Amino acid sequence: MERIKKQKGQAAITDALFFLVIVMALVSFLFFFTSQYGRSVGEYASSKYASDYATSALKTVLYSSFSRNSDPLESSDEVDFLVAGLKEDYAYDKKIDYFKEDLTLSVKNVMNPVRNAFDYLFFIRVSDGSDVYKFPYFYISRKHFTTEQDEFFVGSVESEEREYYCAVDNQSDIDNFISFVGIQGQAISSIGFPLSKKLTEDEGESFHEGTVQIILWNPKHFEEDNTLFSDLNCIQIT
Amino acid sequence: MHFCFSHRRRLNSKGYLGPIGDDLPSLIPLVFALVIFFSSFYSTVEAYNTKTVDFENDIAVVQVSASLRGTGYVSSLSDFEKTCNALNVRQPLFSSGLIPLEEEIDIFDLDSQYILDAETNNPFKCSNTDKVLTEGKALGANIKIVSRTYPLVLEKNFTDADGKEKTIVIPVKLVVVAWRE
Repeated sequence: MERIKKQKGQAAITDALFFLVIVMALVSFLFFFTSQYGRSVGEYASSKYASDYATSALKTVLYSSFSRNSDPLESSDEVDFLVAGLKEDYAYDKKIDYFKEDLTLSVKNVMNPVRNAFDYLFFIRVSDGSDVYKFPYFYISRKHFTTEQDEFFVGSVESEEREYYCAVDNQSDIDNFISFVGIQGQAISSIGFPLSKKLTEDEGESFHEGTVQIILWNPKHFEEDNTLFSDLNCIQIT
Repeated sequence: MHFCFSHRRRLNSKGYLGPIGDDLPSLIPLVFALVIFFSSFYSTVEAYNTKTVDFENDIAVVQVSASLRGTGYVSSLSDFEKTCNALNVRQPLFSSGLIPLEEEIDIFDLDSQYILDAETNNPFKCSNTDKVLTEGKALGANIKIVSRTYPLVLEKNFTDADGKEKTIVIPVKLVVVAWRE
């Protein structure tokens, strides 16, 4: 008992060290709280922006005027909505080829402000009444990253914008690819494609139901021989 | 061992410093712990306040842009102004409007970039302040700037060279820049 009384200093420093341990635990909690606070809100805000942008982009592409001849829009005598041109194009031969470049140009212009933030795909899907979908237009814009690397360190990373037209066979290939890149925002709009009189006589249907869809994701590195990408049968256009 | 020895020696000597002085070594981790705790607490509160302000700015920009976008189709300046007047945002300060789709945005010179209405020559602009964001302000320590861009379509009515009334729908972009001073 006498010996313990004489060791007051040791008890005090042990208490202080315990206090220090408790404080360290509290400080760790505070740092964890700081790093996590608002993270989910930030992610939600980013995803919301991507979705809002995709919705606005889709409306803008479909409602914009375009010149049917090569004249500038303001002086052209043949001005129409782009969506009307697409319907007309599809009605002729169930393909979108005549106004394909106009559509691509419009999509690229509208997506230009966020071209560095997102990769995206834009496609039209048509159903002829059966369960099989057809994709008369499918466009992808993505960044391809190349790195210069020595034995130990990554030197520099450069990105190159690449564009593709794809001949997609089925929806599951798109779903698999989207699962791989991770969706950030998307917008979809239904659209009816009337058929020409000749096609209507052949098929007995007057129009095909379709959708126009745009999907955005954060740029992700992958090679073109990636199976999920190669399944889309894409051909680079730039 | 060394500590116990000196402690005992001090108790027996005339240089005894009293209860605080005697426990002086234990005060070092105590003070160290308190300093660490309060400094990390302060930095946590600072980070919390900073992020909260950022979120408030983000929310304000989302509200303003959602209202101004509407259906995504702007038919006229009066239509745009009507929507703008319905907005009730006091903080943060914001300036927004329509600019040509192909034009690069300069947030310090937005007023000269906004599209002018062909009839009235007034800009498609919506703002809750007469103040202008400058580079000097942007470099300030406490300023927070949030900027968002969305594509829209704008109906444009005009008379062509042949005197014919024409209507075209052009893609433009809605820019919203918000900041706190």
